[in-house]
Amino acid sequence: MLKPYEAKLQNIKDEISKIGVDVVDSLELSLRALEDKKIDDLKNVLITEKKLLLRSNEIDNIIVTTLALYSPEAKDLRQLVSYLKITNELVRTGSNAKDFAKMFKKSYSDDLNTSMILEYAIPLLRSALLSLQTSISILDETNGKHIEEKYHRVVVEESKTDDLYLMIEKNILKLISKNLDLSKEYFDILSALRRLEKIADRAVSIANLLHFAQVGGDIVQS
Amino acid sequence: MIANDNKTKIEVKNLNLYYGVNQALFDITANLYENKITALIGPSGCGKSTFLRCINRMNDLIPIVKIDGQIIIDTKNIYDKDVDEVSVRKKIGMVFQQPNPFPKSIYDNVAYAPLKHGIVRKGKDCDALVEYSLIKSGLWNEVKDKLNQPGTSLSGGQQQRLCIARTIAIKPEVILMDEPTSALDPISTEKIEALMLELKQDYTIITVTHNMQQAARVADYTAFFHLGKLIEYDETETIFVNPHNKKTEDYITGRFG
Amino acid sequence: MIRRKKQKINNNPFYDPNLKARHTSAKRFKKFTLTSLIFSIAFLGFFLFDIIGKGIPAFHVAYIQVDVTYNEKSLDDTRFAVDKKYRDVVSRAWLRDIPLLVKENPNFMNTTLTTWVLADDQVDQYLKGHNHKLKENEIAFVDELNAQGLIERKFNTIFFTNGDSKIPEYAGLFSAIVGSILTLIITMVVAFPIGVMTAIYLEEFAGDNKFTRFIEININNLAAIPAILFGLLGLAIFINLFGIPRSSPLVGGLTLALMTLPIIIVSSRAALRAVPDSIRQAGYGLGLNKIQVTKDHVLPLAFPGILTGSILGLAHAMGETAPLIIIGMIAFIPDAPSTVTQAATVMPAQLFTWAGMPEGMYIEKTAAGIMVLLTILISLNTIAIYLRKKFEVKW
Repeated sequence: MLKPYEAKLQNIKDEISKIGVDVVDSLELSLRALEDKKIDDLKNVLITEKKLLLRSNEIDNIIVTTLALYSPEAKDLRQLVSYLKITNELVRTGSNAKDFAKMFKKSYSDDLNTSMILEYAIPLLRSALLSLQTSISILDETNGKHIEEKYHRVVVEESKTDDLYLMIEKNILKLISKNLDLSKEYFDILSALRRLEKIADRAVSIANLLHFAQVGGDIVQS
Repeated sequence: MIANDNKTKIEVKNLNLYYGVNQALFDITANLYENKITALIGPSGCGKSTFLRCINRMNDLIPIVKIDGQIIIDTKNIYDKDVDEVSVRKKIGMVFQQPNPFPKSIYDNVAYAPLKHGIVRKGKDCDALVEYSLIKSGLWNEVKDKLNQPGTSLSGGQQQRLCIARTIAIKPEVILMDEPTSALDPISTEKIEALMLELKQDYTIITVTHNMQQAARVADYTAFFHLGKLIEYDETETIFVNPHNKKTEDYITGRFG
Repeated sequence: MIRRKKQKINNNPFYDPNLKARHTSAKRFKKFTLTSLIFSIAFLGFFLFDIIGKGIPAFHVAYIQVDVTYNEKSLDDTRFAVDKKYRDVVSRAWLRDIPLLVKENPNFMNTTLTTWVLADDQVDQYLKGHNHKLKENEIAFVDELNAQGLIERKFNTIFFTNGDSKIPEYAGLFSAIVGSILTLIITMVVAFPIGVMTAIYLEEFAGDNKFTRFIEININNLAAIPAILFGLLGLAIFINLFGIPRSSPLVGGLTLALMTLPIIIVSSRAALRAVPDSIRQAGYGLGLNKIQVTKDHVLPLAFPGILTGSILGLAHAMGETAPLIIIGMIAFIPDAPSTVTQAATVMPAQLFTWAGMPEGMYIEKTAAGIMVLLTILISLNTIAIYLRKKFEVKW
């Protein structure tokens, strides 16, 4: 493999990894804020969709150039195509993480049943975080068995988020019916939490694409 | 012209070439940059090899060829009357499509031209030059124990690297390569391509290739020729991602040629 | 039966009805070419068989054990050196040499020694069973000597050490061999350098214009001119104009050189043309000029071909008779020439002369001479092949 080609492939992988890490960091920050009950700290989540979009466009253009110049085949081709799709997913994930932080902070207040909310929100956030983190870690994985294991874990965490969200949705709807004047705040919290569930979905998508890149088969978008 | 901070090594101005009454090159103008790899691509018979051979005046060996225009290298037009074509070929080396080592030993293959040009004397200096050239062309480790074997006893890829070593030995500034890998297998081709990327640090490389992917892989600049005219000359990335000229795009996408 | 055949046809996807006819036609062609080959070999075999059969007897001659008296009387008239009845059966030429023998061995004087004396050519022919001119009493005498074991056959060294002679038993090929060698040395010294240089010029340096093509056509035509015309040319220029002594190896060599020149030029050009152009291109690409490329790269590669062509030209020249006849090399040459300007003869010319002599012994000497000439020619060809193989540089 020619050196410039190798260098380009590595560069693309590193840049994608960086975006993933930034999103994961912001989720960790949010988790700590919720765990320490310092909801105000959520304002420290600084990623923006705009900045992420800029970076993802850059990566996409590098991928197009690499495809044009080096005519990759087999695993290299699958990797580049999956990276092209993953950049999209990551931008959306970042946007989801930012929306969660913003909306949660905005509508959180002591008027609400904070204990119940946090009782569900924290594990939901933790699962979403774990699924995304595991998903991103497949980027550096080369062992087929480990990839299968990690993929499995991502799916497991995602189903956890599904369950958790259903439960908290039921509870919040009950609370809304009891406190109609706080309905907007409760709906907003629910919206915020829904973002976390979306992040987990995207994590599965990313894991699918990375699995395709590494192992082969067909692209299956979920 | 592309705006950049590259240094121009070879300036081609309004180059026209005739084989008797047939015109083969039409008004070629381009700046070829120092320490870069420039690839010349185009369908068969488009004049890219002819153009390449103008740069080191190899076309002068064909009696019916007539050339007008200028090729200016280091501020001197090489087609001026007071320039000896032999001295041009000392500064501008050439590697051919078919590996053509001399029927001599490996050592003599590399040493012959430098000795004749007076670059080194026989003895330690010559040995050092042979070693240097073979190291630079990536062949030293494979032949250091058999320098006395005939050059033709090597494999195809090795022979081509020997020809490159032979060219490096005369200490040129520019290396012209006329389809250097089209007679080789893919592994040897890859080795030569990696070698080209290394060599460009010290030499300016102009290569003709009918394999577009090779141009995409190694060249910094690509020139597309068609029917004797220079259609487009730009950075390789532009040519392969966003060509400006429709003919270029048709060729790149395989719609003709 | 028929049904089974049809079944076969239906089952076999490779059945082709034309094939049988094609195969038979091919076999017929093969038989035809083989027949031609056998025919040619048969002719060759017949020729060799005939020549060898005729020539082998020449390699051994009869010697008679006689008492030879060396004294003043015999030195004066050598016929008296032997007994009367032996005078007609021993070689006159041998007797003629007695004074020389005594001079070398003074102690022979006034002695009578029993020596093996060369037999007369008629005796030798009689003993070999060929036609002879012996009289009745001579035949009886010879038979008696044979019965007594006084006649032996020895290897005929005279054939290789003597020049031509009017006395059949004393005739040898030596002077012809020396003449051939001298002539051919001259031929090669003149033809080889001129021929090779011409070829190099025409192939590497000459432009492609009408003048060059004119020269080329003429050289090719020269190769096809009947050799005898070169003899006339030699006569007119070398002998009449330059005054070189007639029948000398110098004239012969120069004439043969003219004849061999076109062959050497054509084969050298072919050898030079066979050198792939990529070698020259590589040389020019490295900034070498024409002389360096030609001398150091093209010529070494073409050398085996040039060498082969030259040796074949030499072999061709060795067998040429017609032009040398015109310049007089069929004269009677008993002594080998020692310089290139003395009169000489060459092997084919010598054989031509012998073939016209009446005595029976010359028949076998001619055949033996042919065998010697053929051997030399075959050796030259073999050397050509060997040298070509040895110098062949693979590229």
